[in-house]
Amino acid sequence: MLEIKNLQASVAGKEILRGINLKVNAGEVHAIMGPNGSGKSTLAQVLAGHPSYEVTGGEVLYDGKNLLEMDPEVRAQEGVFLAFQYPVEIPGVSNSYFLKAGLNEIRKYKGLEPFDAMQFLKILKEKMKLVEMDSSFINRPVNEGFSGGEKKRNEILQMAVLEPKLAILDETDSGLDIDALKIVANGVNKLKSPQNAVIVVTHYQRLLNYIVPDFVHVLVNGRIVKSGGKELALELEANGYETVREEAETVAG
Amino acid sequence: MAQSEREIMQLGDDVQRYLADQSAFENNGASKSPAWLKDIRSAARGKFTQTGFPTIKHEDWRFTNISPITKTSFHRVAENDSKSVARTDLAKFIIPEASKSVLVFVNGHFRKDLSDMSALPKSVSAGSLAEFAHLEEKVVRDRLNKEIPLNILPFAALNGAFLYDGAFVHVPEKIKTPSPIQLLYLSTEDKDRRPVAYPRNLLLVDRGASATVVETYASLAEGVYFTNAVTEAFIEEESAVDYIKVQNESEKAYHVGTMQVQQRSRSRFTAFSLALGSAIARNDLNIVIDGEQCETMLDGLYIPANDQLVDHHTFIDHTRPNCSSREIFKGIVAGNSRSVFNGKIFVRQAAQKTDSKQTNKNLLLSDAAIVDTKPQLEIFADDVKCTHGATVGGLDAASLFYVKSRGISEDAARALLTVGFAGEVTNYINDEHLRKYVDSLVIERLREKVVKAALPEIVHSSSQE
Repeated sequence: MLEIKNLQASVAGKEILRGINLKVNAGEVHAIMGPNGSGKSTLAQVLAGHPSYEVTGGEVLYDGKNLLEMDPEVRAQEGVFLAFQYPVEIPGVSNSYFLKAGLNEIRKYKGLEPFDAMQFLKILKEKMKLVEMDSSFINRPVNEGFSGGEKKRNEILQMAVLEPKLAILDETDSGLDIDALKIVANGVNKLKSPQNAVIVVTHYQRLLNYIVPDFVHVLVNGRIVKSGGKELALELEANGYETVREEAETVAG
Repeated sequence: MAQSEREIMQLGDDVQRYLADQSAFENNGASKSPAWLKDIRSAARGKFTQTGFPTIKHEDWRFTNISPITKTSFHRVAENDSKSVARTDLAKFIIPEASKSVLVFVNGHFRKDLSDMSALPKSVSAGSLAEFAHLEEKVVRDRLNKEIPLNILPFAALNGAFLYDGAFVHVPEKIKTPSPIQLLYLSTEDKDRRPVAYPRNLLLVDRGASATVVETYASLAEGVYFTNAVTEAFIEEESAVDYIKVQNESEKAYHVGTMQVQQRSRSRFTAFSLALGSAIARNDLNIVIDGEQCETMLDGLYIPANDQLVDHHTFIDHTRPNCSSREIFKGIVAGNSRSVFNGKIFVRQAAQKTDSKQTNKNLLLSDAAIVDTKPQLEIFADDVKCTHGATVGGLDAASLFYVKSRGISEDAARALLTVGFAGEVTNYINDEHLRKYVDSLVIERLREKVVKAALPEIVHSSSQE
């Protein structure tokens, strides 16, 4: 589904990604871990098309198409979804309008009829149950006045409504207490299917107790320095990133 | 020197024309006025004769060239020429909640037949200022034109020279008005002559009373006319006033509005200025906080497009201790339009423990549009908390990316964020119905003049609580 080849990217002239290689197939869950500043969030943002990041080399194929050539909205319409580390507040615009606008543009792109208000509300209410969100959030302005946990849950709600093929969760666990973490993880797990894939970007192993990855990759200094199964996450939790960092430096040196 | 002499000569011509019209008015339409009112007009005429019209050489008018106004000949419309308007014409201008508490003026003339005050308690006086100048002579005489610094407000002086009618609202002690009172000013088209109106409103809210007042300026035709309005408000001790001004004039019209507010101890005043219409619009909002423990909230939103110019000059004068003021003005500035914001906060030496915050944020939607913003803080007390700030810029790139990452196209994303920018400030309107009314005008405006994509209704976090 996704093939990243030697991806390099920089922001404001500073090189962050220095040649990422990663292959993700349908039905898989990949975890990307790494110390602060390793480039994890940059990778997530570049895949979603953030305009501040400049791709300086490499390519990304998504279902065989050149992902990097697509505008952010087209990536979303093609089924790529990024759950933001810092979701943006949009005062004045209701959560339901925002989601309906997104879903209907995606449906239009796929050649499907747009949902009317009634049809959409029914879907929205079902999905809200999935992430245990109160129906009062339907008419509240997007993320405005939401707590950190509510914002993250709202990201997963958006993911549930938009039903992406490739979901990228950028530090969705940060700022969540254990109950909220379970709710978010539960939502993600219920949305998993053999047809879609999930990339979980996280600093800590904690989330991976609930969203169990098939593969774990360690990102250090803009490169994936180690890949393995779910046990690699536990190893990192026990020994910290220092050991892998040293290994990486030895290799690079 | 030769050049400035020529300018004075030219200015003189404009002023002469208005003075001649004022003489005609004094001898004809306004001859029924009581002597004291004639004296007010005469004194204001004197002030206007001294000052003349301001030019861009005056600091307060540096960015607002009013020569299109002074070069045009305007004419007062006779009362009989404004009779064609019927109640059915008003439906779209009247706020539903104010349908039984609305005073209607057509080309500056009070229309009793179109007005309805049946929702107001008997103790509340509301109606034509010209009538109440007789009915409540002492009350009106004690207050009218008393606090306006005409020497620095030439248009208010001009309005004073033509002071004859407008709205009078007097809410006596401890009375709370049950519904918003709307003052609706409508202009009609005159094919041959360009109308001018000089409305003067006097709002008296006595001790412990509360009122919500909405002033609406709109037109029944897209013609050229000139509104030069003055509103004076006296907000007595422990009273509360919510005030909204909707300036939705024809886009070819000229609008100059001056508001002068006196606030007494422990009173609360909130104002919202929505500026949508007019080729040139200027609002002067002057609030004198002449009492302790007052709360003042002065907010606004302007949305000029095409070749419009919208200017807000605000002045909050903290003269006593322990008061707070908050001011948030936002602008969505599109096309070839221009906006001016000049917000002055004055904290006098006696005004210790003043807590004052002022913000002006401008969303610049086109390369050709111009924003001039000048927040000013002058503090003479030493124990105060005051902040101010201004921003001018496009839509936030991170927010745009967020919206687009949900599959929403560039145009639709921009529309959503523009609505959000407006909603952030209309959120400060207390009354839910009035907030909705203002929101609907904002959306209509954005849809017609600013944004191409579909627009949502504005929602607010506070209304859900």
